[in-house]
Amino acid sequence: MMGSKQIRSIVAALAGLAAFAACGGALALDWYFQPGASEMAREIDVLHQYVMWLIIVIFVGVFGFMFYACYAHRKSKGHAAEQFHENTTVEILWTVIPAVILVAIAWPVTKTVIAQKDTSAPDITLKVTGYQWKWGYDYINGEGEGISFVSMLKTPRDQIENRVAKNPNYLLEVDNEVVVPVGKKVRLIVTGADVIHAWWIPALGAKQDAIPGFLRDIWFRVDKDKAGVYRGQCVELCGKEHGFMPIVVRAVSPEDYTKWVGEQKKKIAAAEADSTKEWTEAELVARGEKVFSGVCAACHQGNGQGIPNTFPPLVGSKVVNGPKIAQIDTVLHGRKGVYRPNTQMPPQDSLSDVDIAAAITFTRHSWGNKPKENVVQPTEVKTQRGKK
Amino acid sequence: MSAVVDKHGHDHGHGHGHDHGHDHHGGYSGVMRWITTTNHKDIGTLYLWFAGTMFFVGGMMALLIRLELFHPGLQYLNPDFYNQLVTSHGLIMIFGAIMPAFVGFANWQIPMMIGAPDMAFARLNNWSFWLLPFAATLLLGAYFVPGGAPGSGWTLYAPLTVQQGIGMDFTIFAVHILGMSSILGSINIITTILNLRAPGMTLMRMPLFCWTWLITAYLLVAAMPVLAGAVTMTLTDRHFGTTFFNAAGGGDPVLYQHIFWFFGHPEVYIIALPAFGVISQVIPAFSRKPLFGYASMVYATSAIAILSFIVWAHHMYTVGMPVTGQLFFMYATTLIAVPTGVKVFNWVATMWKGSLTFETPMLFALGFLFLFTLGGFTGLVLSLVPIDIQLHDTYYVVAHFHYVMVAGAMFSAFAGIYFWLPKWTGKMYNETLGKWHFWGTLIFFNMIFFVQHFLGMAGMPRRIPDYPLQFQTWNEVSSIGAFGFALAQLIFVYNLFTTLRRGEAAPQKPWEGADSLDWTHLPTPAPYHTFETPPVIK
Amino acid sequence: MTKNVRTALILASIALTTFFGIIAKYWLFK
Repeated sequence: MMGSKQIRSIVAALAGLAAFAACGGALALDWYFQPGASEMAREIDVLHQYVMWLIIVIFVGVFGFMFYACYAHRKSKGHAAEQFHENTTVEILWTVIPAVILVAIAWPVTKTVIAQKDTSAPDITLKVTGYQWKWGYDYINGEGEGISFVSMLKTPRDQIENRVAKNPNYLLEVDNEVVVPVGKKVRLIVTGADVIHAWWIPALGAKQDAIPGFLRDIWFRVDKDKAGVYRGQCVELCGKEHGFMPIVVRAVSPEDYTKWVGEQKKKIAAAEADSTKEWTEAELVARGEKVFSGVCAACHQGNGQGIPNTFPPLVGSKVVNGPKIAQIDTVLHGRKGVYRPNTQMPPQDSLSDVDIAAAITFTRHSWGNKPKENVVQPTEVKTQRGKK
Repeated sequence: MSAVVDKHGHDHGHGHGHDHGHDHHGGYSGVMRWITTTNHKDIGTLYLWFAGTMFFVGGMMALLIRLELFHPGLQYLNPDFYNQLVTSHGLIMIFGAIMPAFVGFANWQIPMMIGAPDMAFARLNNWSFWLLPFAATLLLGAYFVPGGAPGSGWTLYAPLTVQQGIGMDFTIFAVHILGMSSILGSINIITTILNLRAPGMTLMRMPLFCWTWLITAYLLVAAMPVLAGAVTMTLTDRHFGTTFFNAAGGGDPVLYQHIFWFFGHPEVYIIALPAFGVISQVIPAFSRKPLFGYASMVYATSAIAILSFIVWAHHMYTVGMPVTGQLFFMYATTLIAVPTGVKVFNWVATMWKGSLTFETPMLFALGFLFLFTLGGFTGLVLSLVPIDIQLHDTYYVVAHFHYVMVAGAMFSAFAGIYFWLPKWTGKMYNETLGKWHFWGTLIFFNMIFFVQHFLGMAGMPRRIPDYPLQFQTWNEVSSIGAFGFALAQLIFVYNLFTTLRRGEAAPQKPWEGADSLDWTHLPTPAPYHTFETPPVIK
Repeated sequence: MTKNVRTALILASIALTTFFGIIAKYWLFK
């Protein structure tokens, strides 16, 4: 017979499950794919639902048998065991039927796989490069050709370290968003600079590993009526800041896209001017503080103290307090790890001359560092960049 | 129920489970007995204690991970240390907990089930086990060297591994040692099963547990050297200037993934097949009815093993392989659903019209059946290229493989422990506590991992120490589940220790339907030496 | 040589061949 203890434990279990289900329903949480903003994302959704319904039917069927047996064929109800086993007809049936179901699944999926791989005839081609820990974008073909920027996390460290309240788009906001026109086929050529990263926008159903030394391509086309901002994150473990290199795509109308391209071209020209002009000390320090907290502080920390045995301190550092050429070199080309023989400070050459000059100037003005050469001009970075 | 508790009103016994005469233990006592033992039962016991210890070490790491993920923001761990925990948790649970647990079962059960006096190579058996503590020391010791343990994930993908500190080298050598231990153990198991069966014990009469282990051991012999090769290439890339995985020198980072998963997918079945074996002993025993399709189970197991070598790249749909490659691996992967389905159908058909009772081993077996099948179905979802591309490296995958590893392998290991503990120790565990353990494990397991399907579909990447705000609630549910799960395991620990110290004496055959040689031909508890003259099976 | 030793040696040589084979393959034939 079923003991009272057993009944009690089953009741407790059911109550637990019910409470669990209720809390899920009441909070109305994200529990399914983000609404698709491209035909591919919606197709994936449709396929998923198709497969899920098949699975649910099979699951209920198979475990219907199991639970019925648990209920009806129990010893406590006096059911005596029959000793039958092996039945060729049944065994052939339960081999063949699943195989047929698999064909029914594989057929529509195959068409999607082929469509997903078709990167031909794009309107715009973008090269995407994964760095530790940011994304580089180069518009290499189509409208906007020549635009090039680096995109990194905009969420301040203060929010990550719980000192201030978090933004709604916490960890999903970047300084430079990728802008694309709606309704146009965008081809991405994806690669990595150091280790493997992966580029993903869930709402667009586009994901590709960024493999150093290799170019791989994917494509997406945002629906004509779905202008908006789409957010994702790096999805391949790429080291310490893997969780902190988001991807943001802003899809705009073709007219707005043209406008954006114009602005970018102007910016490129202005940056060109910036990098040749003479900056004042105060300008450099102000800009440098921003660059430092966005890029450098992830390892060297906001107070320049680094992390013992992991990231070297900049406070009192020989490089920061010595000749500036050495520091420019270090920032541009990286440096062999101080604590771990096989690690290195990654090269920061994807930053602009102005940003590098400003960041270095900032470190030379902060935390009690008082080197003789305390101002670095963008032109000096440019010269140094050309040397290697 | 009644079969379990009714029969033993006498002799509670205060022995320590190992109170056999010392002359049986090669003349040593105390620690030396365990270090020098060549007895398959002793070695099985060592494997199981080792696995249990590692299960708790890996579990503590999981709790730290879930603690950090309870809320968005970085609270307790820095990202570097978080990555190290993620890596070690995976390596320790797979190589330190699950695999040794099933090798422990194999050591105890295979000789008794086939009527052999011991394993074929008794001293080699000792060495296979005693390699493990060295490997564990290296894996955990990596935390105390400059730079700490590797933070590359248990898959150890190049080129991230090249950036790691000396802890990476510790891990590589640990993997070498673990591989050596597995291969030696497998050679032993294969030789034992092929050569030491009692007269009349034909291969097709062996209990299914022996069959699944025979096939698993072949998988290990073929797959572990591949992993050893992959990490050796990583080692030479790190220190000796080779460029196997470095594009700058003509290598290819994706090559590492191909080699790793050529090992890695058979590894999934190395873990799952012995679990299937345990379940195939437990379900017929508590249904009081023979396994429905013995022969088809053997064929299905073999089919799964063979297919497991041609599906590896389904772990790599997002590396950008040609469309023909994607389609081949997709079709091959979905094909595995057929033999796996045959197994599930067989188990259900075995229960059908049986005479079922629901003691703890059976509960864990049913939990396995239900949840492992769920994990199999999410595996089918992930086998489909476009859907996988959406879900790859998200929490959906984390949920999927924990359904396979925890609800699959671990539930099965618990079923095996509760099932065989009376045979091994002569003590009966507390059935009520066993049931509490089961229900706690079942409920909290689903609380941890079912919601992770939602997180993955909504877009949360795996292996991140911090996450966007929309993922908060499910992460809270999952973290609370993790701590509940840990508490449920404490019930098991308490039950186990009280059983060993002062458990009631087990009846000769506590499970009415158990019919393998260990139950039918041997006393309970099994004596230190068994089948010194082989039984004759008619 | 006993039957057991023969079985073990065959299996061990499979394992060793796989280990050295896979390294050699990618070392010699890139």
